[in-house]
Amino acid sequence: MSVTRSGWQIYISSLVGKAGLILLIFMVVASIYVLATYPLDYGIRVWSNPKSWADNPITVPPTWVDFFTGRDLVTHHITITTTSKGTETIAGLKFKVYELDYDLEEDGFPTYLMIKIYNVSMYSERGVYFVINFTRPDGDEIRLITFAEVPPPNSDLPYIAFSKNEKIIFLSKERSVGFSLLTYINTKYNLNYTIDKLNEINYNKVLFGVPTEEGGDVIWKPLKGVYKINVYMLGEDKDKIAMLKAVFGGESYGFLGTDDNGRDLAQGLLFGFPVALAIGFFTSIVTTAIGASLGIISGYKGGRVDEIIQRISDVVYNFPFLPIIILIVFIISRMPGFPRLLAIFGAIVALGWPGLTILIRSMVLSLKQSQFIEAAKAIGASDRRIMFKHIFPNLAPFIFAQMIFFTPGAILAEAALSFLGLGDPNIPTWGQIIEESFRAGAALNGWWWWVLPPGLLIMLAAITFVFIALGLEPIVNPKLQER
Amino acid sequence: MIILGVPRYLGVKAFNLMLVLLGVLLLTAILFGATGLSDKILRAIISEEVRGYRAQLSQQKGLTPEEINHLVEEYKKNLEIEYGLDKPWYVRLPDMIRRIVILDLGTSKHMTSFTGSNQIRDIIVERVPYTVMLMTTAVLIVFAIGLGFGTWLSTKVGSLWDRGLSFFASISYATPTWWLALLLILIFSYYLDILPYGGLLSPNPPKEFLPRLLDMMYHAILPIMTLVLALSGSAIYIYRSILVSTATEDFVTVARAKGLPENLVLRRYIIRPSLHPILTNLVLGLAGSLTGAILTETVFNWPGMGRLYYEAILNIDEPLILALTYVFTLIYVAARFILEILYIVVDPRVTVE
Repeated sequence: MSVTRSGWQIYISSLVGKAGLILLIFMVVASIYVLATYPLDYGIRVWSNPKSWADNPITVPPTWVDFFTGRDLVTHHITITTTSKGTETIAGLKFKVYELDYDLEEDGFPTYLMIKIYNVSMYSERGVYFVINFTRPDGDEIRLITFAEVPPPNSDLPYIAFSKNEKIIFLSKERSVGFSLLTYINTKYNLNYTIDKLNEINYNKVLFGVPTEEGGDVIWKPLKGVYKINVYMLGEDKDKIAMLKAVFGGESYGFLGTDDNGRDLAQGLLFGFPVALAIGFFTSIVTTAIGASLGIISGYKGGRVDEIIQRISDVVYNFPFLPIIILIVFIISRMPGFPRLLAIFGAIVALGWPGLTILIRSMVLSLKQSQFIEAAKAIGASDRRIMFKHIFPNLAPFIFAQMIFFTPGAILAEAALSFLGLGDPNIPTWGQIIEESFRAGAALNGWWWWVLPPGLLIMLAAITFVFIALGLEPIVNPKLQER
Repeated sequence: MIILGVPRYLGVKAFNLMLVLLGVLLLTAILFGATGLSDKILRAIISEEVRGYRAQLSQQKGLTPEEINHLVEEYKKNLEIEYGLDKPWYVRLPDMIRRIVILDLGTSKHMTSFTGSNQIRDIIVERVPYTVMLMTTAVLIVFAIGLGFGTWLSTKVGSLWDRGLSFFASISYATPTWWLALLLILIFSYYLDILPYGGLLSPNPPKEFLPRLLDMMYHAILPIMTLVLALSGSAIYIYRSILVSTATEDFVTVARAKGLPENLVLRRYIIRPSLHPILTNLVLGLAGSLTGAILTETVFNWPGMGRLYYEAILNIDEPLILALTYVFTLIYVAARFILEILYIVVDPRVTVE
């Protein structure tokens, strides 16, 4: 006689069982982290809000691709200052000076240069006057742009400008910057560029580079070193800028790159963990509950109830899954305000139950003949008591395994529906992220970081439950233990 | 033991499949009725006809604008009664089902057929062959691969290859088909640049038949490869399991004991009796290939019904989605019926009376 092993021992002794459990723990930990650190309305408040991503470079790969490209890509950099460095007198006028530093270490050009000015308090109706200068590592100082800001007539002082919307100046695109740069390069490097010729090459190359001659052509090479942006402000003594921000666009960003809205993909994909787990768990629990109860009732009660349940489950079981589920989700989501994910959940449940009902019914039919059921009947136990206390416990392990086995299907179905454009654009599920990448033509443009990771995560989630189901199989199906 | 004759057997199967079709029709008609979408479709059909009538009237001379308005109003009212818009949706249920069956669902707002018609029926009918072509090719290849590798692996139970297969099958099951399609585009179209991104033909397709066909086949490589990769993992796994369970039967042991050549044992004593469960799995695989075809067509812009689904969803085209669901169910039911006929061929018990 062999020693009877507990279900847990059998489960944990199998390789797939262990792997599945480890993956599940990983997914649960990631989900807990997200629930603890992300706001609950993350989708609407952050993910779908363009303001939260305005500073980011669009469709750039992760930073670690440096490892493969053989050249260090320029990393994204933001410099912020809230205090003035001091004052400086130019031509008898006293300017407040704000300085923003940037150290270009990589062998490349920042993809753009942008400056943002927040909340400027003005104590005089004459307003303020700004001069933005750019100092390069070679010591040259270029005046990029000048502009004035005046409070609207009859406004209360101090007036706060750029409070609702910050002032954004795209220095690497601004036309007047172009003219400043044109004068600078034509005098310093003896080039005879026209403004059109300058517009052809990006300003950022001129800002952060030096021209070299190669076979009669002018090639711009990046210039490493420390750059300074100096913002001079002329106004009253009390006038000040609350915050200044300079954004040096990177050629790469974060752990998983960005999409075409500049969204940090790592952040969105992390948010997908609890969503995928929730969809997988809830759909499989509800589907299994419905499927199993109907199967037990159908098998135990027999007669007309059995007939009706079997007819319906047979018809629904033979529905072509995807076309019907597309139709259901599509119609439900036409109702305004109805949460899309709930519609997907409902549709998967509505189509998912019959398989289990048919299986459970056949098991109940044979169980019904066993002596302990007859004994329970003989002592006058009610139908409900027999179904709950005698039949269900016998089938519980099998039902549990079926529930696990259904989970990857639910996760994959949700992803497929989201991919077809039936998901909720405000909630970053993995399927939703791939759908957006598909619409933006990510695969055609070679933006692999937007295509591969979400798909791999869907696979990871599905395989987790496949492994757990495989690990449970020998426990539920004792015949397999002999091998 | 109950032995049914061929007509009786097929009759029962056909009845069951008709029930499925009827179930789908009832479900769709109720969904569209209860949500008011069927009203919307009918109103669209009516307003189309009313517009035609008005155009026709305004060409006739001697009618004042008031008279035209009056006549049009009258005509519209008659149409509404004719189409049953004055009655609640559940009374109109049979009529709605009839409309779906004959695809009389009006016109599409945004899409036209390749020939320029915007009738739902025209748009769908011309796309059917492309989907059927993609699906049947993939199903046949998967069947061949599944049976070939399944047979080979069934002779190597417990080997490294065998264990590798169950791993491959799990991975293949967990891989979203549409994502696999994107992956293949990235590899073969973007990086290797040897296969087209999608579509049916090149931008300037050849006019002659044979080069045109070759061009189409060239474009079909990636979609078919996607479907085959997505479906073959589980197919090999299932066919192998079926063959292994037959191989442990007593009659196989007896055949071997008689000293029959292994080749013959495999062919006549293992594969032949396994064909019945294998066909059953082909039926189940059909549903998978249908799902796969919808998603694959979407990714590769293959002009079949699957791609049409995606476009209809993006354009919120209710009648088109309704019609597509029906036609997909029809194709599914038809394919199931063909397989039922194949059952008769492989299972002699059915033909014996």
